[in-house]
Amino acid sequence: MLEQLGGALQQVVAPESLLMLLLGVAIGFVVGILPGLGGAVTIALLIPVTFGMDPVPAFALLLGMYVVAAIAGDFTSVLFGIPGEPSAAAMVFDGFPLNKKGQAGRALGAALASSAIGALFGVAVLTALIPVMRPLVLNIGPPELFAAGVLGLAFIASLSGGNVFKGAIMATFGLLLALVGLDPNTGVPRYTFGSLELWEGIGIVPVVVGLLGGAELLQIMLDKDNRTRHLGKPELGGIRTGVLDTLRHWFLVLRASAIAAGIGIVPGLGGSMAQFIAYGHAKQTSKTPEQFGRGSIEGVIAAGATSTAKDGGALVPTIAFGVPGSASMAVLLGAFVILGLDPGPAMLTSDLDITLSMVWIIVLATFAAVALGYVMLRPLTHLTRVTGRVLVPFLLLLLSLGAYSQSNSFATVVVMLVFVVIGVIAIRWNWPRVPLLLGLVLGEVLERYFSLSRSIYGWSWLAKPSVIVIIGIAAVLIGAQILRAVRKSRSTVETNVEVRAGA
Amino acid sequence: MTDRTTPEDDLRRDQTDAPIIEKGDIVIACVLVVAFAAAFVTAWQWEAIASYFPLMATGLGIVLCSIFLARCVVVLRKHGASVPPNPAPDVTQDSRDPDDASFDQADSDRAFFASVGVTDWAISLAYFVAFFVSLYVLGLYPTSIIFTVVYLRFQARTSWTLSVIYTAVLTAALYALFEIALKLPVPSGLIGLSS
Repeated sequence: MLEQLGGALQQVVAPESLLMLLLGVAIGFVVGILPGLGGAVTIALLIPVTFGMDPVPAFALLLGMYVVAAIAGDFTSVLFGIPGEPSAAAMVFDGFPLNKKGQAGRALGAALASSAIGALFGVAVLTALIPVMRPLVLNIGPPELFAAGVLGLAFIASLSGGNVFKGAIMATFGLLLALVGLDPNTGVPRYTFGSLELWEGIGIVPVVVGLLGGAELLQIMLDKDNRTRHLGKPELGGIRTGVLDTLRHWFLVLRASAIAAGIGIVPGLGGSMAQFIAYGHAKQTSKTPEQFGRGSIEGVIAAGATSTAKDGGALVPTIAFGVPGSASMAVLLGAFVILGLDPGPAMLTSDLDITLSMVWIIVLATFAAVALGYVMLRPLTHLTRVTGRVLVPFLLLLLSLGAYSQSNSFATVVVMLVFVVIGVIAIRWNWPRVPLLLGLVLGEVLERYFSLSRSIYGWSWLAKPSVIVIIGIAAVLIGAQILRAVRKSRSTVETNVEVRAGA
Repeated sequence: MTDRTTPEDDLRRDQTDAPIIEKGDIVIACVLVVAFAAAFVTAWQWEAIASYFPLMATGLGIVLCSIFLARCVVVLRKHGASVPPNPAPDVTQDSRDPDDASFDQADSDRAFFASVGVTDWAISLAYFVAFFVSLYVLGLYPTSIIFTVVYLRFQARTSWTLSVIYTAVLTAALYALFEIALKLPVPSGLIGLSS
């Protein structure tokens, strides 16, 4: 194995491969920073460029670009509150508040360091698990995947900022939104109101962009005194502090990376779900959970590690079984076919050198991204010193292009605008926005595996031991959190009443 | 850090998690329960295989909203006005320590939206709507040029020179990136000025 790894490294550092890798890194950096322009779309756009290339340089371009886009996607989340990548949405929750506190450098340093460690962790998982994953993945069926989705819903309470009921309602609203579009089983248009544009459903990009970025932008537009942007002087030492924060929370980085890589391995669950689950876990295990959503460095670290670690996991089923772990991997699978490769056992035997070259591509692209990131971080942090209103035209254009790129239709821009309104209402009356995103992401997954389970097993799948165990864990988690929230709110009301009576 | 917070800060922090009921909450819950009910009735008319999951999701939504509204009624009856709404943090104070645990972004954002006057809303929404109408009618590049110059000069109060340079650089960067480098489609507008 070590000898083969050495041979794969030689292929990756060959001039042609290295050149493609650097090109991929440069494109990935731009793609990551631009909101809405996801890595999956760019892989699809770059596939024609790889026609006639050898597999290793081709993957150096595609995979290198994809890994760097995931790392750079965190930058816009922190600096502008608009996620550069759908999988960077969780970074907004704490990265942007830290920026508002004048700690953009610290947040970016932590994001970069945790993303780098996450990427290396993911690739270690890929290397270690390839030989042993086949029997396990083949035993996970739709019922277990449905149960895993329910487990994801168990994190609603911890993402609701104390408003458990409001959070649960928003998550259910997210589930309802996930139902919009053609029914996958019968082709019946559901909740489309006669609009053809809604037949494809509501994508997460316009929702994230509108709900988080749009509401923030409107706030900047309304703020004539520049009150809401607490722009401190970007601390030059902040970047190093962020890196040290990451190293200090090394165990959190490993746990978030493990969750992301684990979810990435399971086909169909996707990186968007991984980030919310890892973020929820980080909050649950934190000593200062009240800081989450208000500028917690742990939230930034968990989100950063997740954004890259998931890719190593997602590559496992893609390479070993030809089963893509995510939308991006599905596009990458197309590249396998175009390059004449046969995903499956051959990738672990005759084409093992190509598989192992992917490991090196991810490692080298990560180091390149970190180096480029550190060069660019200081100029990027200075952007936060610009007066809010001067950024408005730039942000409005990014916002609309981010939404438009989802379907190349103005309809997604309109959807984004609807979610700007919902975002403002949610902020004004303290309805948590994150559970809505979680519901939207999980809704599609839950329905798909519910339908598959029912059509394969009838209702008997509900009695499968594995399903009962996973849903039981979810029920215990939800119950414990509701109980904690009810106790807390009851004691708080009594305290408030006593304080007012005393006054 | 938390050592520096005052009892008033702690009270305000606690109040964030209290079941504070505002009229807006009740209106939002009522709107959502109507939406869930309408979606439930609609799903009822589809064939069984297409309606299982929608019925479960919308049914859950109706139950949760109903519990929330019932809880609102109970809390209002039990405590009435004795459960005060959160005091609005003073968002004009720039001197507060960002590391202070009492710095609550969610509260600050909520208070900010609650404090904006009608005129400011009208002006900002006018610019916001004008941008998207222009994007729809004229397309990306004319909108980038017109909106950026007008907004920077008259709303952000920057100089003509800076407004023009900013606009030129921004539009040129967009064009180079989307038209030349990535060759990605952008909103072309009804009259196709950006196609």
